[in-house]
Amino acid sequence: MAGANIESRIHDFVATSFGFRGASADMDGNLDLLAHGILDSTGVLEVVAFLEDNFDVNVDDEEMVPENLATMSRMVAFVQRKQSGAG
Amino acid sequence: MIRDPRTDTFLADHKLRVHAATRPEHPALVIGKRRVTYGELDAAADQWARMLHGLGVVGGDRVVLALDNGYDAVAGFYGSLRADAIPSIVGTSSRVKRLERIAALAAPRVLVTTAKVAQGLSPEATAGLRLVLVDGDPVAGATTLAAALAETGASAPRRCSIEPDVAMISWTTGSTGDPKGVMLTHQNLRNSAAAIASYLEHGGDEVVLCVLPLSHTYGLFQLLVTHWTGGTLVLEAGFALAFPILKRLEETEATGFAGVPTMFASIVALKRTEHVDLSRLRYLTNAGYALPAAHLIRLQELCPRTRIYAMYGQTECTRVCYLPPDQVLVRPSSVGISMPNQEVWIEKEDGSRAAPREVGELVVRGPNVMKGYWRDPGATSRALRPGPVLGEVVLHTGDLFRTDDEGYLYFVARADDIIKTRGEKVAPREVEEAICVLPDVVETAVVGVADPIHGVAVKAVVVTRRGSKVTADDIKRAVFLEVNEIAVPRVVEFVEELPRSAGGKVLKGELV
Repeated sequence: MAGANIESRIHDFVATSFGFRGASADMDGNLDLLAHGILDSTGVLEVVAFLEDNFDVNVDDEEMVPENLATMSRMVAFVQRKQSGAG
Repeated sequence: MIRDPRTDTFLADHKLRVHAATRPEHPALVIGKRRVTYGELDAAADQWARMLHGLGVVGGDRVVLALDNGYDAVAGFYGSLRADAIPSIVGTSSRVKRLERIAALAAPRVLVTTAKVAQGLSPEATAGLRLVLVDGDPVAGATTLAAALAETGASAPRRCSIEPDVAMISWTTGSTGDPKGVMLTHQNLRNSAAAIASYLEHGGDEVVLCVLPLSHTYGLFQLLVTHWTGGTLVLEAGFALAFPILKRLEETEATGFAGVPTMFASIVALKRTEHVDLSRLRYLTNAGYALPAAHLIRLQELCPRTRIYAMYGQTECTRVCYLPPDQVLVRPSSVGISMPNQEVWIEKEDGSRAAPREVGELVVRGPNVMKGYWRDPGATSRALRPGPVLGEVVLHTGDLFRTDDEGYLYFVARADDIIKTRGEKVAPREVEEAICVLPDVVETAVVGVADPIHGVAVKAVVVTRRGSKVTADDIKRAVFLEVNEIAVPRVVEFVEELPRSAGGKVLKGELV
């Protein structure tokens, strides 16, 4: 799957699911969603379920950390790593 | 008049002094990699008190700490107490409108906050107070905390407080959505800290991990209860991800952890937890609203030796009751029995006491009951009413309760139309007003509906103009921006018209 596609799908998902908390389609991919209150503990679970259902990856508990999930760019990189088998 | 200096030993900050004398090197606070000993925290509180004194604070002055969980909030809280001031901790995520309203109501002498929050405040909101910024560059009319602490003189303020004096104000939400200041005295804080430490069986070396905001009494009492017995508080910014928090519990060898059901929901959602060692974790507490039984069972599986306490309280009296851990799987929806040194009963509308299973209002009598609402005698006299003992008032909680045949307590509902969701109060009127600001919205009614994860979820039923493009997301965003995250409706339903009585009153019961 092309990186651009992963990126746009993640952006779309975050913008539509967390729009009421301030997410938008043109948001900076490096914005810290946890620090800005766009993702809370329940939102993170929704993101993980989305990644697992849409990109054929399995997210381990140890991988549910800010380094992989705090920004959209990190989510994209995380999915790409997982898909390439490096993660 | 000469004040006996031993009076200080009756005040809420005194335990800090005691532990600083008896175990000065013991960590009082751990924040990230930073460890703060009792000796250091006690000295910091004194320095803050001298600073506030230098800024013109006298006994009874309000100090608003608009700060998130962190060292400054803790040192500022203790320092304010030691200056005989009345602190309030409010987080930085509350809306500017709310903070300005709190500042107007509390009329503080000093407001301590971040540069970012300060920039959002109107000049009127900061007129007549000293603004102290914990970060950023100095701006006109403000001083930085570092500069203010450095300029502190050597003279300590002379103390004047006695135990029944107001020690702090905790800001909660009233029925109109306007903030209501709950006044808690030194006696309230000391008694509740001692009572909670006793039923949680706190020893001298507890390590409690706090992810709850200090701006709420559930969070603040993690600090006060832990410090009551000389333990260590590991203070976190919040709870976004379950796994890092479980690792933090493991690496800090935490013995206690307090959460709310949404946090436990994400902990039980983890795939496996055998890779986290929670054998040191002596207890978990839950408050806000009941955990679903399935989550309780799963939690107990994850940490079989950990005792789970289900608790209930409200800001007006801090804590009311707890379910002894051996009952947690026996009666999972109960909030248990009265905490120590307090009497509770359930009162029916005619003033008589309810029999088992009869529903009535929970009434609380004890040294944990607040002094009243800040500058609001009307609301105070509705909540605090004469009790059975001459000259004493008791707290009418506005919460409907019942007991089972064995006398265990159960929360039933609110007596007013306040929605209690995720353990916090939401005023439907405030949410309705936020939604009605949107163009194309004709009218709306906001109610609470049962929800397995949130206890009660906020639901908005909305009537829009024909052809309107207003979406559920627009509704949610308006509430998020105008009110707060807690008040955002989980469910938005668009209807042609609201059901009304013959008299024109919206029949909210039909919307649930």
